[in-house]
Amino acid sequence: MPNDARMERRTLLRGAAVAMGLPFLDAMGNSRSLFAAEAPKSPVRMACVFFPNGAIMPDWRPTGEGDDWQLSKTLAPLQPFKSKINVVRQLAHDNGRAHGDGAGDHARCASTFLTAARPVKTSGNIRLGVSVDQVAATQLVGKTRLPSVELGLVPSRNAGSCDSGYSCAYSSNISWRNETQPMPKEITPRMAFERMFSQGDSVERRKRNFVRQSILDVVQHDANKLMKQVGETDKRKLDEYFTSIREIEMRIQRTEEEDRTALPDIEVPFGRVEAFREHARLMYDLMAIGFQTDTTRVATFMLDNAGGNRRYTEIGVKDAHHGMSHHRNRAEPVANLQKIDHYLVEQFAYFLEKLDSIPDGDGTLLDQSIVMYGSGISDGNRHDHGDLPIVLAGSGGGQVETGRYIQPESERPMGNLFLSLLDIMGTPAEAIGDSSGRLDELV
Amino acid sequence: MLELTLRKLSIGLCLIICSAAFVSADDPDGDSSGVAKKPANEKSSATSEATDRWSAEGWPLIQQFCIDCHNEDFQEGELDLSSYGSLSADKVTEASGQMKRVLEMVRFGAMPPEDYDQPTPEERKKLVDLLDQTLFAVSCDLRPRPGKVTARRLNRAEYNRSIRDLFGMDLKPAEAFPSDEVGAGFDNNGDVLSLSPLLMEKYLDAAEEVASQVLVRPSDLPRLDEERANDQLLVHGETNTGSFTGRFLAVDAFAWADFDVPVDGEYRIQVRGGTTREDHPNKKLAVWDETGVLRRVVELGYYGGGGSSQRSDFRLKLKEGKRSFFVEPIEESERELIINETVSPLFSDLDKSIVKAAVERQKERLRPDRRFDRDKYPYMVREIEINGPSEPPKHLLPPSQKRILRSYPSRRGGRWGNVEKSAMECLKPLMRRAFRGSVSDEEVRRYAQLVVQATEREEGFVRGMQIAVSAVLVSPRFLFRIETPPDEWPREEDGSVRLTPQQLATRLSYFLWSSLPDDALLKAAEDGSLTDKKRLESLVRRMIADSKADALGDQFAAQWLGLRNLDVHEANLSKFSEFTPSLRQAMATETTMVFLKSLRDNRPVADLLTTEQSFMNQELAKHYGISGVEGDAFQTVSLKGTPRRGVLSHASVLTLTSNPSRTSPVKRGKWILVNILGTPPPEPPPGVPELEETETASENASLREQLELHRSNPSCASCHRVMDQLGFGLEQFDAIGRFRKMEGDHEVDASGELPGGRVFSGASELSKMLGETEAEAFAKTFTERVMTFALGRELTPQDRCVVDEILGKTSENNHQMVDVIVEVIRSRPFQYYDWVDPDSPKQTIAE
Repeated sequence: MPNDARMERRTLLRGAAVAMGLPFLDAMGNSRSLFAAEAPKSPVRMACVFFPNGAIMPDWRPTGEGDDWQLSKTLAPLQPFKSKINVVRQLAHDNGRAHGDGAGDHARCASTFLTAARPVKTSGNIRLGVSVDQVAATQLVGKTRLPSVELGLVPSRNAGSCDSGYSCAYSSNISWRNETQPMPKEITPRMAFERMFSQGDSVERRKRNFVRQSILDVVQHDANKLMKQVGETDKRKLDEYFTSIREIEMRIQRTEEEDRTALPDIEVPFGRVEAFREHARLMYDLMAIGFQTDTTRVATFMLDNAGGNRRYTEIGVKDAHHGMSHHRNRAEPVANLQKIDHYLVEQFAYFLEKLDSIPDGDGTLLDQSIVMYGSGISDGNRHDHGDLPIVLAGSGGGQVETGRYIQPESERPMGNLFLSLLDIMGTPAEAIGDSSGRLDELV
Repeated sequence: MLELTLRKLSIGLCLIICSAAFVSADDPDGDSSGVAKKPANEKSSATSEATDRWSAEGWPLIQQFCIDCHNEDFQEGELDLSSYGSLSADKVTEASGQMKRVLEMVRFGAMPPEDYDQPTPEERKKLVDLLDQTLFAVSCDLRPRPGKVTARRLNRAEYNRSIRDLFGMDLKPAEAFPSDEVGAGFDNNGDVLSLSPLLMEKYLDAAEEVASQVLVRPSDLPRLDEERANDQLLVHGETNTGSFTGRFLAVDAFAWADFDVPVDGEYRIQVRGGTTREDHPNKKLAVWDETGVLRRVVELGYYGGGGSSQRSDFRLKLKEGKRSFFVEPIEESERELIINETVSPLFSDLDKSIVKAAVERQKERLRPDRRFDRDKYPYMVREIEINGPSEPPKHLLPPSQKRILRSYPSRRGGRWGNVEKSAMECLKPLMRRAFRGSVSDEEVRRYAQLVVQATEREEGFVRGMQIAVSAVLVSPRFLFRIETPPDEWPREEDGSVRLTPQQLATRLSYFLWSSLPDDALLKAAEDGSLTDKKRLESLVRRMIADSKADALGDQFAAQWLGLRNLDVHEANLSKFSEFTPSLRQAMATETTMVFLKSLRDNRPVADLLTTEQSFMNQELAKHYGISGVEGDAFQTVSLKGTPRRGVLSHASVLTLTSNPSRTSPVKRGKWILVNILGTPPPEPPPGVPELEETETASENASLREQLELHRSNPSCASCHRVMDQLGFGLEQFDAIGRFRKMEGDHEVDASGELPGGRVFSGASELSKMLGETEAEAFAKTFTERVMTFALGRELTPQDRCVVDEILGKTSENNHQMVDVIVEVIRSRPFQYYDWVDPDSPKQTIAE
């Protein structure tokens, strides 16, 4: 197989095939009684997706109220799933606000996002709190192959100072195992794939085989060229070369195939995926398959680091994201930011579509999940940490009534939402960050 | 009965003759058939002169001595000489292999059999000369075709040396390869060297291993990036803990941290903290090392309150090992402080119990106290951090690293820039050398893409370069030496093609160095030096003087003289306990060193037989009974006053030609015939018993008597006559080459006689006699072996003309070794090759 084609080929999720024939993992099998009359109850999955720099809120907020509401311009891509989502208002991260710590709202944006805790302003001895996903994951240890997966699209910077004296760890991570330890995120789809689905040393072997195959592709090109130049006797010698190369290639392919039988049927390129859309969708695919195969029940995903400065040129936006977010309400940057918000929601809709296409339990994987999508800042211009843009998708196996526009009367700590989510996951906690109770409006 | 055995012998003989003929008929490029048609048309005067003379003078001798057995009706050994009456050019070409064999048998004295009429030495010489002239006048009369060398895979020695010279590191990865096939006496023969999937796998392994040795990833180098914060600091004296667990130090208190410095180098040390009151002036902080010596004084101002701190950093050269840094607030003008000199008085008090107490305290959890008196604690320390080394430690980087990585791509914000360009800059010169020729940008780019892909996978530039280097080392352009004409390269009239200067440089370096050309040689190829006769000659002489030409000893001489058989030789250790692996090695070293010395001194070939100079270490000298040589290093030793002269008296040759428990005059004689005189005896006829089985005749007979008994069998006698005589001359040396006067109970008789009444007694007389009377034959053998090695292919009958020409050119100075090598390099087979364009219409052989 020519190398280039493999490198560039876009991921191919073979639709229904993914849903079939995947072996039950041990953890699942064991939890089932052989004599049970009923099918095992499908577990609830939780995913949290973070986007940076806030959103253009007037275009984000739906209209109407309660059950009678309409999606906004920015959230329009979610229309197919309107009955399976809730949009929640009034959620705030008070710990994101300065309260004497001064500048550094982006560092606080990402660090509070899933912890609701206040980061210690330091570039060295980072200290924060446990994040909601890790509270769940810790209680689910042993139930799945991986307690959680942490994905992202840009590398973390865990050394040095990133935002007004805050360690870069605060801006680069949303998932925190404990007060001092952020969970490093995997940004290369292939590495994430290997981590999630490969067994033992097969990761190294497959990496090595992949490198060898790329080497063999290059040298075969040399051999082909020589073959055209040489005479008959030398051709015989080069034939030996070709035969040997082919034999090695066949061996590589055989091990690859053997490995493959134990792996989900998805093609994930080895290299860095340059295009944002492809990259993001691959990561969403991996999360979906991770849930589907019950490899993990908890996933987090950062579309960019806090204060991220990606240029979304593919949708005609030339300026950098963070730079633009200080738009001072000028029309052009506002319009461009809305484009970005919409574009990111489109990718999220892809994820929901994926989840909703996979049967699980009595419904779909989306029904069995609780997916939070949002940011730790609402208005990027003012670095507002109140009334955050938050969408909740899935009903957590019927535990959450969906299709609602939830507007509490006053500000509620995000931590309250987290406690509710943990209840839904069956991994309850007493408190998280600055939580003051459950989010009563949800359940 | 007699007839029957004779017949057996002849059949065996025939097999050789037939197979020799078969080889030339099966010439892969169809040379002989191509030539076969020409002589008829271009019959020159020289040819007809030779054939005429043959008919007049040679043929009668055949009739007298040979035709009785080898005629049409009674084709002994299936050899019929009845048609030799008229040796036309066509006939000669057709039967050249057979004629050559007849010539050798007669020259050797194996024919006619002993119990038949024997020609006088003069008659024998005449028959040999005439046959020789007829045979070779015909072929040499034409312009000999240069022959085609099959693509040669690098053998193990060439692979190792190529890697060594490419990267400047002697890694010897080929030791793990299976041994190479040997053809025409050497393991550099393109026709037999094959490439199995197993070997390909080993090539891949070796390439990856080499790449990881010649390039080291920065992440694989030892590095220290550690910080000791607040609660990890060790303290002594009066201290307190403030908000954000800052360590507040009273006067005379100090804090410290221990680090394991992984490697010598320059490290950056950062101290964070500050004075505790805003209205305090800046204060100095002394930094002492673990020996109590002052390394630096830093100055910090107010720490800033809360979790803040001031910071100061500096760089220090540190030695590998456990290092500590003590920070101590010091009052102004308290004492004079000299960096790297002043020793802290604190250290006299710092005994083990204090350190132990500090370590114990450090385990306790710190409880911040916000209410203590700041004035009592003028200084706060928050952290001591160390990073380094700032430069990758040079002594841990292989020498090749800098040479290969001439360019490094930029890296900004986690993204690589210009990877392809940098990779191409690094790879182009490397590939040019590894592929022994020019490489196009397009070719280099494909390798550079491997680097680009690796950086895209976030594996780093150096890792990418490792992959690209691995690819270079498994490319057929590295593994094979393939000679094809470039576009627009001129063809000779006969279709042959001259090597390009780069190809010639490659042949030269693999011939003389068993390695790839160096930059000087490639430069010589570019500036035309190689096409200039004089400059080529001086270049060759320089190359031979270079230590890389030691390869001629290990590769050429060792194989020519069969020294590699020593490695697998099994001496009977209960009889020869001295035969240790180190002695075995010393034996081979002596011979290769003597060869190289004679070569570099440009001595006549025959000197190898007669030289009084040798090289020994203590073990070998002791083995020879020579005193005054000490140590493992080899030194020059004169053989004057000893019974030894030249290579025939080397323990190496004497051992490898012996049986495990006893000498074998037969094997020794055969060795001389093959390697010195160039006249290999025919294989023994099938069914002839080994000596051991005939021993029953007389248990008490000496070996010599036993052999004579053996030879009384006429089926053996014809061949053994000469062979054994030669071997007897070396009987003064036992089966591991020690001098002896007695063989068991028998006194050694080392006398013998060679054809032509050449009588000798003992090895040095034999060597001298061979050196004098067989110098020409020896030079011819040498030339043939050198040429076979140089070309990497079996010599064709036509090459014989080239050998003769070289012998003629070098005879004036008694065939000095370098002169012979220079002439081989100048010869047409070395400079040209037969060529058929692959895209030209195929010759239809079937028609």
